[in-house]
Amino acid sequence: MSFLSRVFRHAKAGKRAKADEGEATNTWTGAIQPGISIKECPFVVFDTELSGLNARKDFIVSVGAIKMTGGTIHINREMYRLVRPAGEMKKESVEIHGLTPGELKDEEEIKSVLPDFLEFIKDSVLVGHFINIDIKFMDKALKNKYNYTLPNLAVDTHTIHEWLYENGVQFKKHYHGGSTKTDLFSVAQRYGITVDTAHDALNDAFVTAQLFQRFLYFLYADGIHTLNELLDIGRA
Amino acid sequence: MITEDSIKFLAGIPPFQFLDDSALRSIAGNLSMEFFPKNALILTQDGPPGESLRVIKKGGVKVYLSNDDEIVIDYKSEGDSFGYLSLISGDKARANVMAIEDTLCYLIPKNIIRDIINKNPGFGEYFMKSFFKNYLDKTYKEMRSKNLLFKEGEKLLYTTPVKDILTKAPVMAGTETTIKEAAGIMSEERISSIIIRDSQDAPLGIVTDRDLRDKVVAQGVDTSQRVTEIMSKELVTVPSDSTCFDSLSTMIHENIHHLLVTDGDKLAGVVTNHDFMLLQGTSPLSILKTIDRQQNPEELRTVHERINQTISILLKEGVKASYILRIITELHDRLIQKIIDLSIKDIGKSHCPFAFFVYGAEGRKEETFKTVFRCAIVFNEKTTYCAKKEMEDFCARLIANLQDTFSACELPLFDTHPFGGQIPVYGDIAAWEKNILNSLLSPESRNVITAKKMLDLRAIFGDVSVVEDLKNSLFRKIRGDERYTSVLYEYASKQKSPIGFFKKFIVDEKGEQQEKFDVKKKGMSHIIDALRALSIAYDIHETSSMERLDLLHRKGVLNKELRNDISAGFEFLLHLLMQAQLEKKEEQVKIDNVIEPDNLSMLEKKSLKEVFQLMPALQEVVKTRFKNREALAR
Repeated sequence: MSFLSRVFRHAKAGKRAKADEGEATNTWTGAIQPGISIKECPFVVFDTELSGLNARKDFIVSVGAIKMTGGTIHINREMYRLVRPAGEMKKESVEIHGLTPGELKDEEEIKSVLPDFLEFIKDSVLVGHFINIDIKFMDKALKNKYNYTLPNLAVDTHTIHEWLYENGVQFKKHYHGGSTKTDLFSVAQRYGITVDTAHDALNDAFVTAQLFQRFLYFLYADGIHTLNELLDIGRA
Repeated sequence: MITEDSIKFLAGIPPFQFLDDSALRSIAGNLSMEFFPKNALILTQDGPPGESLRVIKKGGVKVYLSNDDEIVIDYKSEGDSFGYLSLISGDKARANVMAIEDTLCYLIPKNIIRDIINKNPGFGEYFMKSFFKNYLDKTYKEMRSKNLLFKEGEKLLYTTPVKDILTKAPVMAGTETTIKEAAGIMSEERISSIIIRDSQDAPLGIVTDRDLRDKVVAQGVDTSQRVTEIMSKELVTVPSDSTCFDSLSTMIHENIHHLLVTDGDKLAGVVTNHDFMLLQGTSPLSILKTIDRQQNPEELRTVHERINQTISILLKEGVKASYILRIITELHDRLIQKIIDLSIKDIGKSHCPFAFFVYGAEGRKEETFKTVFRCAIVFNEKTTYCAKKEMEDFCARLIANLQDTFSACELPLFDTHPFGGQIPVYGDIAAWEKNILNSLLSPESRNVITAKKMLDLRAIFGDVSVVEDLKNSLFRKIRGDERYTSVLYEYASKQKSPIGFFKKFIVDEKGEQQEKFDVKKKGMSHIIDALRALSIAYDIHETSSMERLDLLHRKGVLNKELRNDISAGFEFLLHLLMQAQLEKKEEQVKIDNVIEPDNLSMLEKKSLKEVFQLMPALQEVVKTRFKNREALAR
């Protein structure tokens, strides 16, 4: 989806969400313009754990997010929430994220997590590894409850990595090539990020943030200084 | 999770480790993280003042100045911080900081650091010059707590107040008491001393078993005489809250076996060597006693090991290195004196004046776990009525005899040819002078080092004035000859200390990394060399670095601050050295002067780094003193 149509769509959606008994506050103001310098740009790196990958049947079981300004990660500005399953959980997915229906049954419903998430991200540019999946599920939940979808700009660390792998002069020089794998952990490890074995949405978001932090450094070295330039490379 | 991890990280590194949980949380709540790939410039010299303190979470950086040449000031790695001074002063950044590996830094904002400093005044000192004064105690404390090798009971000597081992109220007798009566009371009370008091109950003197033996029985004195006739009037006292260790030190120093313990003005009791021995199997005084008692060398066999055990116990208790050295020097001196004494008894006396001197660490009273005995004989040919040949024969026999004793007693090696080749370890003043001065100019550094050791000569046996004559003449010749002074000057002013640590390595200014660090060669010897050169220049005859330091200060050569810093620094190096040697001894590996930075805590590394940073100031004093001479040399 192009930037303009996305903004257009969500400008409309935003209005409707507000009308929806005021339950979800749309915190997006559109203040972040693509011309902003990356160094000053607020980012929220986020990750979700899911019950499966089928957007129609599956749902979010946890959300983790951490804030950044430019390449700086704000250690304590983080969000981590477990979500009460909105349906039956598949055995395979439980094996991946280790969250069982039993331990989730007393958690909040997604609809009470959503306003906090929106409040957390505000105008920030969203960042994630294969973020389209996370956005899709988030949008689905928002749409369900508030007929609203995320208007925020978003970049994908996977896409950025593909670009750097092909075109990043400083990047390739520094790392003597790059990772041929694409999954978060393999990529992170290839670039020297400590990856904890225990992985949950917040830890994964933190790993992604560190990956993004490295990428931004080398993008900057190759002349990528504004959000616009970043979006050209890594738009989700 | 992420926050908890950061708290855990900070809680493990100085100075954050000394903050309480709430302070750590307030830091963690405002923490951010930056990434710098290898070769990225993090701070620029003369750049804007920092807004954050950076703590290295992973990776490492190089701190350097880039004026004409690049001068590396420091290397920093995980757990180290940088940017403090410019942060607090608001001045420009003083140096460049560049990542030399991919580096992650935690950033702590200025206002948080300010807040922490307000609430914890000690915090900021970690980053300042005042670190040494304020953190050295913490370092020692940490070193001590690392030492879990304690056996119960070993502690007692150094922590128990002496009043706790007093077994009974002092037994006193009036001035009217006769010798016979006094002996009767002592026998009845089963005590080895009695205090003679005046009419106000104040102690006037003491009579001990030994006095009865030496002054009464041996001299055939009439026992109906008053006891005041034979009492010792010089009473040595300690306050009752002194530790047993301090009391024992006093006894060793005064060479007495009975010590009066006072509680305010009152006499609380008398402690004896025996009391301490009950407390502690390895009392230094009991070793002294053993040494004194022996009549043949074989009996000294265990003594050396017992001395080493004493060092171990003192160290484990956290006794200051300088105190330990005092005791060890005393014990070593007595041991060697005894051995010489026995040897002379064996081969017969000489009529000629001669003296033994020790040199090197022994000469400086800085020997720790001894591995080599360094002593030598000097005689004065000019004033003796013996033929030189006769004297040389005597010395040769004496040395051979000593050597036998050393091997029979399994004592450390006796270095009988310090200059190598055929040059013996005895000679008249002129011969010594020639050998030492020639070695000083030798192209072989081994010889130069031996010559430097010889300049720390200290008389230990015999006619002390012979050693003084040698020293006088040596020092005068050195001062008067540019060739000699310039050798000492080189060593005293140009040796470079390491600049810091990087991970498990120690790093010099060229960036060379070593996994091992010779505390003596790369640390202590720089101080020793500088103090030696200055001492000779100012005709100071004391040999120990601490004494030289004090005298140089008194002569106005070193200011008080530098004196105190160097003294604390030297003490720290000694402590570190002894600690490492102790560990090696207990693991039964060869004792040397090497430590592995990897085994040091962050606090120890920081202290060590501070010591390195003192060297240039000391060397600067040397340079100033020798300036004209250096000009002459060119």
